Amino acid sequence: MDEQEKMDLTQQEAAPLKDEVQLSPREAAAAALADLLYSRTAHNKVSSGKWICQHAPQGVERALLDELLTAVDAGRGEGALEHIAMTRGTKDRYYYDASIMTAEYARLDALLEDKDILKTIASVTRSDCKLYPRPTEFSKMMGYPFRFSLDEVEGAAARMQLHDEYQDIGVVQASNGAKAFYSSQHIKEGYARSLLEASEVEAREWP
Amino acid sequence: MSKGIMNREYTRREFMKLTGKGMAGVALSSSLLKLFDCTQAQAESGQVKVYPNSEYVLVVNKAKCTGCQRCEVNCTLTNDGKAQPYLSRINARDNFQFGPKVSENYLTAAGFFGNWSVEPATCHQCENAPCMLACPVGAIYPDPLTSVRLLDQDKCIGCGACVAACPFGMPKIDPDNGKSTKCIACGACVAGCPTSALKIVLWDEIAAAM
Amino acid sequence: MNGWTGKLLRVNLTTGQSAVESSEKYFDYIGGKGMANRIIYEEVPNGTEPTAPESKIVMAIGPNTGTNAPCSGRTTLAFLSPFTKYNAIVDAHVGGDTAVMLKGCGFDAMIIEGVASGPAYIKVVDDEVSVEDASGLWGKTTTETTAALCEKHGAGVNVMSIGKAGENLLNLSCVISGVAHSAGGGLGKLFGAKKLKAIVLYGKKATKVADPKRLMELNNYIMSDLMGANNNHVVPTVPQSWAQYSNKSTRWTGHPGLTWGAAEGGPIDTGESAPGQPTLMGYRTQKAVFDHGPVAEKYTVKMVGCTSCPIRCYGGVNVPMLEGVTPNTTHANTCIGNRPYVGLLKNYQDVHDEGDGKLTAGVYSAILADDYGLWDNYGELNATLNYFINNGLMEKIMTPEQYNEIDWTKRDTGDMTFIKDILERVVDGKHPLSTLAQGAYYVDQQYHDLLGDDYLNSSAMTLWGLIGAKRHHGNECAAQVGMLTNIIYNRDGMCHTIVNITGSGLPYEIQRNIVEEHFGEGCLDKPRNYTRMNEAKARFAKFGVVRQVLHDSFTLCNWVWPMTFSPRKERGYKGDLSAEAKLMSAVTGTEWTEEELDFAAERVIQLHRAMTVKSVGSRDMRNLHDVIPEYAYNTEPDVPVFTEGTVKMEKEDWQLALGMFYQQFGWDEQGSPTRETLEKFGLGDVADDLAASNLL
Repeated sequence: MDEQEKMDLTQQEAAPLKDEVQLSPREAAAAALADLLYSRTAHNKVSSGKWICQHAPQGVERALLDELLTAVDAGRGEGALEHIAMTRGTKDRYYYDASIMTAEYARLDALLEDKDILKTIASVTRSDCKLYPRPTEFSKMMGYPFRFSLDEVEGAAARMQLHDEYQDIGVVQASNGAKAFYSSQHIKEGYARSLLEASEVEAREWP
Repeated sequence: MSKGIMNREYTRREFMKLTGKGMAGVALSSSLLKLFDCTQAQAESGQVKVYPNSEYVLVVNKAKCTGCQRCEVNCTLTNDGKAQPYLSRINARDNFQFGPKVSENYLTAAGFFGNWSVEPATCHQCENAPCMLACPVGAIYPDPLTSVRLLDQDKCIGCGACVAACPFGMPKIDPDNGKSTKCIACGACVAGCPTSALKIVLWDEIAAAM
Repeated sequence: MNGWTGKLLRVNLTTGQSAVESSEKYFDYIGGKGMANRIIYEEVPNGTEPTAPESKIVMAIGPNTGTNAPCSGRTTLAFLSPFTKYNAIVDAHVGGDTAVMLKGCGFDAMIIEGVASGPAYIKVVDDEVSVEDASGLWGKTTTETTAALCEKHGAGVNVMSIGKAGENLLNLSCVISGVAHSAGGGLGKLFGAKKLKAIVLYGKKATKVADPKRLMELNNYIMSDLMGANNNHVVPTVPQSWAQYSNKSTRWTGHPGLTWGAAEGGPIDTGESAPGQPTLMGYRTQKAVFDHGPVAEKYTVKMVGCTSCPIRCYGGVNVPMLEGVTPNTTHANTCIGNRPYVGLLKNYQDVHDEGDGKLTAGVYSAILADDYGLWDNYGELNATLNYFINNGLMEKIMTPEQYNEIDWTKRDTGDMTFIKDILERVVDGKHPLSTLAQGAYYVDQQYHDLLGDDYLNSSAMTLWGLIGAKRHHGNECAAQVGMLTNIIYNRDGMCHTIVNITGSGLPYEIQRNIVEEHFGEGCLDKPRNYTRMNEAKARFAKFGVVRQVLHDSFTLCNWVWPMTFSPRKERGYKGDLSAEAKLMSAVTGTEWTEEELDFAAERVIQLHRAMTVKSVGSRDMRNLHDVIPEYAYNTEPDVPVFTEGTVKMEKEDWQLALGMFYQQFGWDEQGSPTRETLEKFGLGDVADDLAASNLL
């Protein structure tokens, strides 16, 4: 028997040992919940509390599920739930595996799950203008992972003017017709237009 | 022989029955497609080539190969300690432009000057390997465990019989040390492919998927 | 010997003879650009006409070429510029397979001299060197030439060739290597003048490296921890689950749902390829979509690019709408090369989807241009043609018959054959339209009565300098810093060190904090909101060109290198600016520090500057060479300088910027190297030479 064959055998013998480790019902429930959230996160999706309840792992009681999620909410995910994080949306709490998804992306997906286009556009625009700084192109809201239609984006731009909480959100246009949102809380209109012209027109002409 | 190897051999024979002389026209299960990281259409249109040996299947996806030739130099840095594409046990450099030769309809044929299809040539680890049969000193031999045709550098006399015998033109004689560069399936080419156009799939994985 | 081959090849076209010499005396100049510049300095007398028989072309590679370091498949060719004022030294950089094949033949450089008696090509297969008859190839397109030579010498040989533009001695002509890799700068004209139709290379020799294991570990580290996408953009264009940031302007366009839509056997999804996945990084840059727009997705077959590069920045498309219009319907290129003359049309005729008319016309123009070997000079030729059309000057440079021969209404209706109508006259060599492919400086010289001072100074031309050189990342990128990187050169600057930082996709504050660690407070202003010149900016600008020259000499691709940033959050997005020195150490076996390698690269810049001073014939570089056009001071008339929303320059501040930049290099107030500086870099002989010409 050579070394490789020995190793194969050793592994075969060792494998069952792992399964023999006894998990408490609570630990088993945490592991099952972690698996569920990992597989959803791996598909680039956060999971709402409601969805988790509907898809609760077999044999996990609702009360235990609530307990485990509440611990995650408080930042104390136990055992297998150590990597699970929560971001709060308007309509629900959203859970994801933070070892394979960033908080930034989770917040974005939570906005999309909330299905509030005005809030989504305003949040992204404010963040873009404050952080980078840059205006938020209409085309960005029409691409992955937002996938709004042009009508939806144009409609949202019009509707935001009627809401007090979105009065900082305005629209600028580049010389090629491309439009973008900006937030006057963070950048001025003229600056937003200039940044848009640079990225939409000048950088395309001289890449 | 351990049970694992018998299973592997069984899977290999079943797989060979399925794929016969190639992948074109073969219907693969969705789990096999996932394992090979390709679509049924890619397999059917002949974009996917498989090179099975006893250890694993080397999957070459022509639609994914971008002709960068990183595989070639990773091969020789690993095996020969120098960068020398000519000695590489995988060859994209000679066919990425036009395929193996310039055809009359080269603007629509394989290669960068045509339809972009690039098929790196690799060692087939042939069952009745002509290189092995031709070697006068028995320097090319099957690995008892994997049956990959290995090369015993100490025995190799650099006579070039393997070079002459290989129908695919793969081995070369390294002019610096006078030894054959017969592929030993080390996997360096696969490990460095930036588009995963080369992939190693183990028989155990295939067994699970078949 | 590790890294270098230690040999250079000299081919004399007049005699048909070749000779092999040692290249070791040029190692101080690293290789590539450095080696080629030094050879031109020593062998081509100042004032030589670029197309004279005594003029030479030097193609060179460096110790890193062919080692599989990511993006090391680049070749530099040095020669005298035929298209900019003073005809000073320029370099052309080309990718494809040329670099590894030259290395495989066992040479660090090839010097091409003399003039062939008739059309010829140079064939180098390892040590076998010959000058062959090319009379059957003269007049053929670059594609036809390559196919014919590959048929004759092997499908895998690398062919560099010229088309009609080079044969007809246009200043704006290039040499095409393989598929669509272009060596510009007017090189095609120098080939044409030497009756050199092509070079065939096929090499089988080794590039020896001191520590192959360390080299492979380094390559893996660079690809896993430091590299992002094309231009080393480290942030994806759309939000991805692994990413903290996204930025619509970057070239990390790959994402779930975006495909190579015309791949054989069905679309291949570009997916998520998070940092640390070198076996997926070739999917990060879907360049066809970046260059042509979303409509290109379904025509994309795959990405391609240069040997050894894992980024794959060439967008390979198959456009069935070109069936019967062009010899083939496939093409790949990158950036402006993907659509060099699409701007000649005012409209586009869509066939199936919105935007496919522009895509088709763009690829059409790219196929034509590459087959002609016509060099677009980073869009300058297109801009010049449009300048003449838009200002009603075409009637004035052509006879009425010539003018009426062209159906100008096609331009408005978007009939793409208008592009061919124009380009075939441009490459003709005798037609008045050919005079517009001389480079902006010579166009202005010939037509100054028609153009006045407007043409060279206009924003429609966007030159960096009145010597007739195109701006190729200037004040639009980090203001004074970007503009300063141009003035070193006698053509478009092509410095990507700085633009890769500002274009990385990272939020401004992260960019600033990282580069300020290297160059000091105030080196990087907010985008389009910049401040007055300071010393930190001068240091930053110097770094930009030093690394560019290092890459062109080493060789590495400055379109991706240096690794200023990383896509990894856990590194705080900090890259590793010592990566080149680590590669140099692993390859050569001699330990090099970052500072030592930068010093060697700066030696090349000092030599290049001294050569330029000689060509200008004056020490007053500030007023004769480093002069930027008026548009740079006049954009956004309603926005005051140094406020939000403009990158326009201010005259006094620009002079201050030049002075600070000169100081960084040890040049005098006029921008010329001093003896002390030249001697510091071991260039005492160059100082003596300048002194002998009263230029020191």
